[in-house]
Amino acid sequence: MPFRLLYFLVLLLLSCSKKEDFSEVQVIGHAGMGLEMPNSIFHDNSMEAIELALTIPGSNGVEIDVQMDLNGRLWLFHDELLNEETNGINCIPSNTSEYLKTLRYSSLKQEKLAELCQIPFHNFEDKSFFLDLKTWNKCAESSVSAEDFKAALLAINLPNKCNIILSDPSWIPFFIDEFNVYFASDDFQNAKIILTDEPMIKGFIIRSAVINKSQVNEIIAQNKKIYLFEIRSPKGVKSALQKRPSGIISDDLRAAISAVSN
Amino acid sequence: MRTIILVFTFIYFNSFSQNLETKAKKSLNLLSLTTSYSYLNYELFHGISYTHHFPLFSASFGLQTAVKTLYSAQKFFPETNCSFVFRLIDKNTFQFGPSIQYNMCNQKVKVWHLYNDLLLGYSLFYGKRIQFFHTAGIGPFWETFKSDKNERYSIRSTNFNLKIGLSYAF
Repeated sequence: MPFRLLYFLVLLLLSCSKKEDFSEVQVIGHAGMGLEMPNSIFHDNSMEAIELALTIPGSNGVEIDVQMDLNGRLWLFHDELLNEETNGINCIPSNTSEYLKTLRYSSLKQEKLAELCQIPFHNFEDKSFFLDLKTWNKCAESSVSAEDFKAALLAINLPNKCNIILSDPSWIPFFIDEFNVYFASDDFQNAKIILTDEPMIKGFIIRSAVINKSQVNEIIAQNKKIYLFEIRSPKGVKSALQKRPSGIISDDLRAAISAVSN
Repeated sequence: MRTIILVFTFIYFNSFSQNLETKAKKSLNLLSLTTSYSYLNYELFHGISYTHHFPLFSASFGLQTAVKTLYSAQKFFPETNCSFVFRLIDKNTFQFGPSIQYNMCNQKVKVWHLYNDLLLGYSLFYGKRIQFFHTAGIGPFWETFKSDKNERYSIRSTNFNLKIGLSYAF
């Protein structure tokens, strides 16, 4: 009798799961294998995390944070201050390349700070790369030069029409001709205005929690792409997928791939 | 010399202080309901385990499934594990000692990912007929999967695992 009951409960549990097809939704790794995920094997934006995210079958690409140093070289780092995550001090825009080359993350594996040019783009031609440009230099309390940033990007052998994420609307005209530009904001109404004013913008990046399904549909109806981010759990993945965006930028890449490849 | 005497005294009192009658008493079987948290898998696992208390050590074998993945993503994420505990402190209702634990789990993330970890830590048991137990361990962790190019890809790291359970002795 108890075995019959157990068998019935298992059947009930399995029959409750309604399979939906999310195969058209792209899965992108946030900063590699997830941003500030305490259980992640590798530190976010490290070369190891990016390579792992690009190697896992089912991943469509990565989103990475890019900052420019004093010498015009591009580094992968999310935070404004180096001392929060590495053995360095100050900010990336106020340091030289020589100094930044010596830095390591304060993580278990102590990965080296990675440069954008180190990514083997040619090994991952079928993957998408989203470069989130960090424009603010907190140490100098000023914005870095958009023209210098663009020149530094063009000096690297990037994939054709690389995707650029910008949250400062004044930077959009500098990049719109050479790159696929995506605008990032938490303000849906403001984003709609920007998307209308700049018809060449490819799409919109927004936190999953601040947008609903009908707003996602509004963006898609404008023939723009929309990617949702800050998705940190299987529950969050499910909720984001049900909004049917163009893609999700997930902090739990395995859960996202698992949900999409039903 | 003092150290040698100390070591022998320690072994004598911990390993040979039980008479045959006590040893016979300690051989019992336990069926347990378990819950464990695997740090790198970022998962809670629920399941059952079978433990046999031999006179000096305990051996267990368990089957578990990941709860978050099962309920949020309706995916089966099974884990099998075995462990050995050397009961350094072996009182009537309380046992404690170092443990070695091996966990293996499989997760379908488009392709199958295999996770193995070998953990060193401690275990404690409390109770008579109904026992509460707790195990914690830290050790190497390997994740293995086949990439899109059909190449075997393996990552090594350090994992941490916490387990609690309630057992019934029979």
